[in-house]
Amino acid sequence: MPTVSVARDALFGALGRTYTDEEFDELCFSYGLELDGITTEVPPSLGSRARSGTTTDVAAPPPAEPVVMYKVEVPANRYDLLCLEGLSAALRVFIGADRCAPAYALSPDPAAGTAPPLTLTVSASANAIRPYIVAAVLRGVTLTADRYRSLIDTQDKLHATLCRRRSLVAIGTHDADTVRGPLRYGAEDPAAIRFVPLAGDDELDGHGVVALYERDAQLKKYTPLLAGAPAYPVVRDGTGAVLSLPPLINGDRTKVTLATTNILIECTATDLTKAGVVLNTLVACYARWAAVPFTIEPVTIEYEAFLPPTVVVEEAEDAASREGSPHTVVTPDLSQPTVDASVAYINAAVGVTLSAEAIVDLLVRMQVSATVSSAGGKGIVANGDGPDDGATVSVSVPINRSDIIHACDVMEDVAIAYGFDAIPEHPLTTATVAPPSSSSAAPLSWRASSRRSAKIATPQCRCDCLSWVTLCTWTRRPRRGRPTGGGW
Amino acid sequence: MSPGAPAAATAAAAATTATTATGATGLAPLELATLDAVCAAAPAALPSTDLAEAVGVTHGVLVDGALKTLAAREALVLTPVLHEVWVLTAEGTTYASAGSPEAQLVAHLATATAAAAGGGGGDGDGDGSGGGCSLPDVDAALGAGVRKIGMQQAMRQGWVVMDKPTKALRLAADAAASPPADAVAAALCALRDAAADGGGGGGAAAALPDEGVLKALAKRKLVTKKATKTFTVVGGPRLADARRPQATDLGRDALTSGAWRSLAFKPYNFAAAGKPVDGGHLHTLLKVREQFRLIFLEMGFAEMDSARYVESSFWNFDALFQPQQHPARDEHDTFFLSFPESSRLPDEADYVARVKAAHCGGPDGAAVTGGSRGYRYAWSAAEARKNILRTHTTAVSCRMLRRLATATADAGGVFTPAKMFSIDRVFRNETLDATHLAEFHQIEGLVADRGLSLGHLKGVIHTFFKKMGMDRLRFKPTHNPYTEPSLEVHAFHPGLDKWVEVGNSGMFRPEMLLPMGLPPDVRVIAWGLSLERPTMIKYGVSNIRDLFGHKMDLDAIQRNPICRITF
Repeated sequence: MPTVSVARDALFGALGRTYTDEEFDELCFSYGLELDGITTEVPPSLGSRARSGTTTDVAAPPPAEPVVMYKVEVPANRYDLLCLEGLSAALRVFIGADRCAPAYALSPDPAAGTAPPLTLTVSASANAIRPYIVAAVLRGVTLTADRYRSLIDTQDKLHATLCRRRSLVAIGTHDADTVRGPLRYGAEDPAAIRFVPLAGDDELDGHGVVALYERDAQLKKYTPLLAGAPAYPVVRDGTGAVLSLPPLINGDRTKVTLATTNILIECTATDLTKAGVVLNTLVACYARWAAVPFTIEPVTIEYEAFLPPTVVVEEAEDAASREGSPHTVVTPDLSQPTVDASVAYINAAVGVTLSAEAIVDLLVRMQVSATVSSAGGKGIVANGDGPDDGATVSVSVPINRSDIIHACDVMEDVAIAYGFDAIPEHPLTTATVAPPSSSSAAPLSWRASSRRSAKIATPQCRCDCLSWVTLCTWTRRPRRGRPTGGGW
Repeated sequence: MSPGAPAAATAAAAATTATTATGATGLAPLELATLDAVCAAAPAALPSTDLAEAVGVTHGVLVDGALKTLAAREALVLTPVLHEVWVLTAEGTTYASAGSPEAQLVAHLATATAAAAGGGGGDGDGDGSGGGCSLPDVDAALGAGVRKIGMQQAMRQGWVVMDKPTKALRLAADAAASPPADAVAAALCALRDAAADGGGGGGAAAALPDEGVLKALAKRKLVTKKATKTFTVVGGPRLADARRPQATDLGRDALTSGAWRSLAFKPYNFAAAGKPVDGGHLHTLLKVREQFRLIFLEMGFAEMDSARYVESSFWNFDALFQPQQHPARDEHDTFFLSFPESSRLPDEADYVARVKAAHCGGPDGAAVTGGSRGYRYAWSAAEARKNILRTHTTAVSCRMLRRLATATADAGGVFTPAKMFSIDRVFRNETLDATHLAEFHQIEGLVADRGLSLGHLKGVIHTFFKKMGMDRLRFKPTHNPYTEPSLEVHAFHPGLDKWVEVGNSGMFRPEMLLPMGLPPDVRVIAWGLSLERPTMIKYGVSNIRDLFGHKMDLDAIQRNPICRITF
């Protein structure tokens, strides 16, 4: 399970109240988090990466004071909790400090007919290595050292978990003011990709960059994703300048610094669904910093040859001949899909009797807004529990809760908000007929244990029973019951 | 045990009559001689040392060859007498003959000084007042060990002084004038001679050094106290019977003839150690496993056939609705087989199609999963075919649930509830340390029935853990890829005085159960824990390698107590 490290006082500030360590531990337990450790640390210095902006030099911050840090373990499906911003937003709603999750909006809104200012063209060449890209811009952001650190840390956390070590999705953040539209994304001959990598000194080509990072302790685990490919994916701006060489490194020219106010986020991917989840998670956490909080500037993505994401290459008649079709989308996709769950199902599965309104109230505490419809749960099974009076709870899934995909996820959130410990225990009444005692145990297990008992109990055998590793080198394998190379 | 105990071969005089004597009474000549001596002295008690002298053997031979067997026949009563004697250590023995190190040093310095004085009045080493010997010279003559101790002791006595600048040793004025007596060697010699005279420790008191001197020698580890045991011997209650054969059996003849009245019976020896119980020993893990099996069987659960270490990714992951990009399916976490690399998908093509639809989502997926949005990715059959070492026994549960669904369909839709369990081995590509191996045992129980709720899950888990004495439980929300909701089980440990995580549980996702073909209102609750952790806590094992594999502690397996799981 991933762990997020947050400054205690900053967290309590965001929550609007303080807790003792025990109280906070208790709060974590009930929400499904775990307070894994409490340390006192000096926040790491941001290094030259953040300070030496291309246009403005920011003075080095004064040496940081040690602060108390909480290490909080987050369940592996809640990527939105991997930073202070997301964690505090979720807990504020859970403890009742906020009544609802923020409403996110696109500005300019393409639905209102205004085209996004930035366009990104995707060449068909990308299909061979990393077919998808999504992007968004946050305008009017004020960065502080803490916010900057949070932005970087969250990207690292997401890369390690949801992005599956960047193989599925790779995130790049840029100073949007250093970028001229329209952007271009495609795969190119590595020798033709020349740029100064982030925090680097010299301009290198694609081969040079991969060779450089093969020796880097942090980045060497990603170089195999590129090494050997005939063409590397690359994001360029309108002037041809390189923004990033995904999934490895960004260009130094467009890096985010403390002076950055407009942040461009791009995520290249082999899995389009995951890319959308990653982008939504990031904007859900950081759109609160925008000049108009919770607004996001969208980006138009124009694919020359879009591959439908749910077709398996191996099943296409000829993988190489797969051809996409031109396709235009606007990202991020802030639509909130609806998941319905019948009240009867929720009550039966949790083991409680709650009214539809009580369920909606509980869901609010999980940042999930829901409405009651009595139209009957069409589309969603009531799972046949009891007389279905037709009351159904319709959840519109928040952009940061991609884990809600089925009625059972809604049911879980109701159970967590109700409190697992508050759910009444029911004795198990399932009546089963046990097989005869000798065969109720699995045949092999039964034979093994009978044979073992005989070998141990019979004085002539006097066998001592060992427990042997299945995974061992060939030379260490047990021979004729006698282990070799061991301690006796 | 046998009366014909090893006779004392050294009792040469008695040996001449050995055959006749043994034939009549079952006693060895030494034993007869001993009886004679005791009877002659009766009723006075004899010290065993005197007795040994009387029968002409050493004390040890007497004790082993006669006293023990006669005492067992209750012919003699032995009262142990403990003696503590000072004896020389190896170092002490050396000094007794060679002189104490300090005396050796003094003697060496005296000769060296004399030689220097006689040999030409100080050419090289006469630069100081009265010369002296350098440390290396003394080391060469006496050995570094002797020199070190001797220097220490002699300087403490004020016999020898060291020239600070040259670090040369020379005799102090007093010692040079009249050589000091070697009291240490004298005391050691006295002790050695006394021990030699004393033989068995009895008498012959040479002038022993007094206790203070001995203690000082003991401090220098030149002497040590040695405990010896002798006996005071008197006739026992069955002294008269001792020469008669000892009956060990009361037979029919003896009873009918009345001979039993006059037979001398061998007494029972209730103090004898029992014969060791012969038999093998169950492995610690298996003892605990057996307890868990009994708990499940008591609760009416049937054991699943889990004999399948190699599993296809389909049953281990895909059928459980665990997406193909899930990190657990990485080679960082899972062992993939290189041969055979893959296996066939299940023959039920419609089932596989439904699993695929559930993963891909869309209208097809929603139709087979009760409205799930799915994971919306390209599901690959090749990925599902890959063979792995199973990462959890839930792969077994999954097959069993699919079988349950098939049985329901075969029965015309009549569903039979099921309670099942398994305890078997699973494999993870873990970093090995004191508490983690790449393989361990998982305990898993599941209930499939209509209308089950989280309340039932809490109930059955409580019943299960109560059987191990864990009464106070709490449930923490957590995430498992194939259960929703997922509940981590925490129990209060009175010994540790804190809450500890004891297991994991949850309700299987409908996206797993509905494609199998289980009726929509059938829910499956399950819980699991590892076998190693409770075993390590129960038997106080801190390193898992002591429990498992080629460094296993065989001794512990033989000595570990029986298992009763309590908390």
